[in-house]
Amino acid sequence: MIRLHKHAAFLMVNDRGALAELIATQGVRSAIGPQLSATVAWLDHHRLEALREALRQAGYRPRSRTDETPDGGEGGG
Amino acid sequence: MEGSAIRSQGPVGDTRADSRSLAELLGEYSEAAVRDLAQLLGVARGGTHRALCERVARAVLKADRLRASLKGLSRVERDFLAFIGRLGGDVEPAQAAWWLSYHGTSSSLNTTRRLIARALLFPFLVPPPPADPMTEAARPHHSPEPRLTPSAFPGALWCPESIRRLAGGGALPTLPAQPEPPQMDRAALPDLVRDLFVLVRFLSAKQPRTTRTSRHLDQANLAELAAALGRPQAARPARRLEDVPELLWLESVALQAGLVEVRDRRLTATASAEALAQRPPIEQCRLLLEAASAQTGWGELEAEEELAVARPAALSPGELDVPPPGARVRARRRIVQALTQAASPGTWHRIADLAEWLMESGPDFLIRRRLPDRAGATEAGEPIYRGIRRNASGEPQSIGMATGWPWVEGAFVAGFLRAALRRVGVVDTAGDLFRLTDLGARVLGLAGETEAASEEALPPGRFFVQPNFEIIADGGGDNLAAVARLSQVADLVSFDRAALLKLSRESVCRALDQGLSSAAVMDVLSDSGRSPVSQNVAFSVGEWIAAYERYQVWSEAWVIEVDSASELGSLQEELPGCLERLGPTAARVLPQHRARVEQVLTQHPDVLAIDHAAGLRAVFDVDDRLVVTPDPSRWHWYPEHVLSQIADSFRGKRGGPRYRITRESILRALESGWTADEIEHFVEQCAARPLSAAQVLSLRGWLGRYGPVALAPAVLLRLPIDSRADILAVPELREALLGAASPSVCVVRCDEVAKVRRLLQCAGFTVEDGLALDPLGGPTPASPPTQPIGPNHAWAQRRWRTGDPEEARQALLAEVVDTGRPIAISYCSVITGEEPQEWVLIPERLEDTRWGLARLHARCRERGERRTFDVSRIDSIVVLSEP
Repeated sequence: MIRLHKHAAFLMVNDRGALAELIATQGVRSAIGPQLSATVAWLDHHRLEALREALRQAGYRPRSRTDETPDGGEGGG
Repeated sequence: MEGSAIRSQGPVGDTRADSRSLAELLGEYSEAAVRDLAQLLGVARGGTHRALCERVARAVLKADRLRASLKGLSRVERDFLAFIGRLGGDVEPAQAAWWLSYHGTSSSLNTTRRLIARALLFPFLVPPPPADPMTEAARPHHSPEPRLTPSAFPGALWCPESIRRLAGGGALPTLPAQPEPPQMDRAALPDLVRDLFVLVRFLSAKQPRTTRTSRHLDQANLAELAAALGRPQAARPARRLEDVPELLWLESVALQAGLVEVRDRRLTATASAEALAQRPPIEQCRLLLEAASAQTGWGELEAEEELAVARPAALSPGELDVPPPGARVRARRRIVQALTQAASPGTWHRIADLAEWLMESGPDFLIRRRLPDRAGATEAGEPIYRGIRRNASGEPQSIGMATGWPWVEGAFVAGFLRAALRRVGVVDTAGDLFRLTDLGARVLGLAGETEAASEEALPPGRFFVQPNFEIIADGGGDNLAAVARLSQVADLVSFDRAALLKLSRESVCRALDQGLSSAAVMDVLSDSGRSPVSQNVAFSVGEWIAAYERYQVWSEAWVIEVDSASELGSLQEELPGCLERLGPTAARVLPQHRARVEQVLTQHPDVLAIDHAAGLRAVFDVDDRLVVTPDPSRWHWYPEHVLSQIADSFRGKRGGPRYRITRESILRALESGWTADEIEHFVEQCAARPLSAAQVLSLRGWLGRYGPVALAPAVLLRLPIDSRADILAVPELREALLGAASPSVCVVRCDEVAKVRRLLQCAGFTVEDGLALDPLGGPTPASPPTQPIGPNHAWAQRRWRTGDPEEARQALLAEVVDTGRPIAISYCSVITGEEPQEWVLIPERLEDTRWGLARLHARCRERGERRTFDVSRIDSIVVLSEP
């Protein structure tokens, strides 16, 4: 079966340890969904703000990127 | 329509005489042709058939005859024909009368009449619209046609192109040059941009409200703004908004240029406001020139000290020559256009000459010309401006429309040049003189402005970044671009003669959020490499950027999920360049290929589209025992992931995955960071049917929504209703009662039964036995132990104290280590001098040392530190009921 998720959200990190570190962080763990790979994890579309807030409280300042720009594909946040 | 369409009206004078002279003069031409021409002119008044009219005129009017007619004309009459030519060939009677009066013609009527008599001008009327049959029927037959008054003359005077060409004239000459003045007011674009920068900062920080009736700030906010702009004389609260014209003008320009906008009666800065200071001067000048020209006010005239302009409220609109907003905008654009045609860049000219030039190029510049009417006229018979007077001598003095051009329209031109055009950088001014600046000439297209000019290199900024992350910059207007660039990556703390900015992690991340690249951030701080940044600042900023880039939260993406890596591989082959792999079984759809991917997927048999914006709906079914059965057609990795955290998974009879939500699984999820709200919301949202009351009770109970409840043995006291108030008024009795079960039954604590009985008997009640209830069985204990139930009742009240068996302490500790329950202990530390100290711990493991001493390794919940405790020094242990 092929599932096409629209308005999906995910977290991408640039090294393997970063995601593991995040998942080990109390308060952030529950906001992160299943891991799609060692550097990508699924996020609940409706809990993005909670995740951002949890990350901020844990000392992280994630980059927000939206993928809705039809021409660029690299929509800046 | 017959030839009667040719009429002479208004300034042309007597109808019969003019018709006669016209007929005589045109007698030499083909009378029928002239009549046809007149008919055409009447139809062509709208301009649609203008070219046709001209062709007919050329055919009818003979050149040699025209030359003879032109020979005897005076200079003014020739100029008049040239003036009509500049207007396009048509002139209205009021305009003609005004022009001739301005040029000293003793009788504009006679001049016009003479030109008509020589067949050099043609008066015509626009045919009246077809009469309404109903009105026509109602009008008596003997009623005369409505008489046309001069001011309502609906026609014009026409000078055909063939005559205009022979009469000469044409384009106006350029303005004469003047000597350079000793002092001047230089163009002040940097100051204006600085003021707008401060205005935008003020609005961003304060978001002030506008007045109820306008888009302007109220007086208090204007005073604060004036102080922020460094204008102390304007900082005093004004009595009226009109008393601070400069601030209002600044505000209007910002609104017109799109730098600020009104949202919910609040003046807020737009996204483009931040970028203004960083744009090249030529772009700033263009934007602000357009905004200044498009102002709907006419402050230029009101600012003129030698004029008194009646406020609209003083006179009714029909009695006041207030130009409509559109006319004010058109007038300013004509001034700008006149500069391009009449002024030479870098050369000084008189403002009065420019006003004269504008007058010659068209009469209805600001205020429409009128014929004399009831509003009054000067002694010379010219109409006066209504609502505009000269008051230089203190005495009101009417201004005639012809001779008053320099006082009214000329004042408007001067006001626009000295205020707006000088502030936006187009002109320098000096008293009655002005000159186009280089920038102005480039903006107006008079100098070689090229595209390269807009890409010119930014001047070096005057600032330095201190090792303590503060940036000090020159606050001057020519350094504003640097300050604006810096304020993108640092917080502007203060801005005066010097600007102080503070660099922080948050400010750098904000800049990155706004789309600045990491290289651009460093570029701004180092002023494009011209000013080195201290090592510690560069290192910290680099670290902040690296941390920012490390985690990226993507939203609004399209993601494809498949069951196997090979399936995703074949899909990628089918859609080359459309997918970006995120993992073995997941890929992101590139936004530009979404339509194609969707189209291709429609050809696949088994595709499920899930819109997460709509939320998860009916993903699983929940039975009465809170066992969750997924719906395979809606199942995907996210609900699976959440359920694996909040429920225990097992295989159903048919082999499919199923989940059981239990108290333990909920407690586990709560400990791992899920909140009760999130769990409850997820289950309620994803369940195919609404949860039953029993399901909700269990779920909420396990989530700890309810406080603890207790069952305790008690005695019910049945009492007469009328005695209830008196009994409860006795303090001893009230304390012995636990509450009321009904109006006639109270609950008595078991250990207070004897006391209640005694007190009631003393009060004269006959106390009967018979309602004692002991649901727990056995004799009523003196201090009945409470047995709480609820989410954590198995753990509540588990404790160990000094004096209890040592094995019980070990067993309890082993139990809490296994389950991870938090405990509160009283601990006698050697360091604290044997004074017991309270600790709340998350036990992690027990350790037996080789000397036979047991140690507890645990994490302090309050401090978040790991500690080791000697078990023998623990005085008491209480297992906490909260998770």
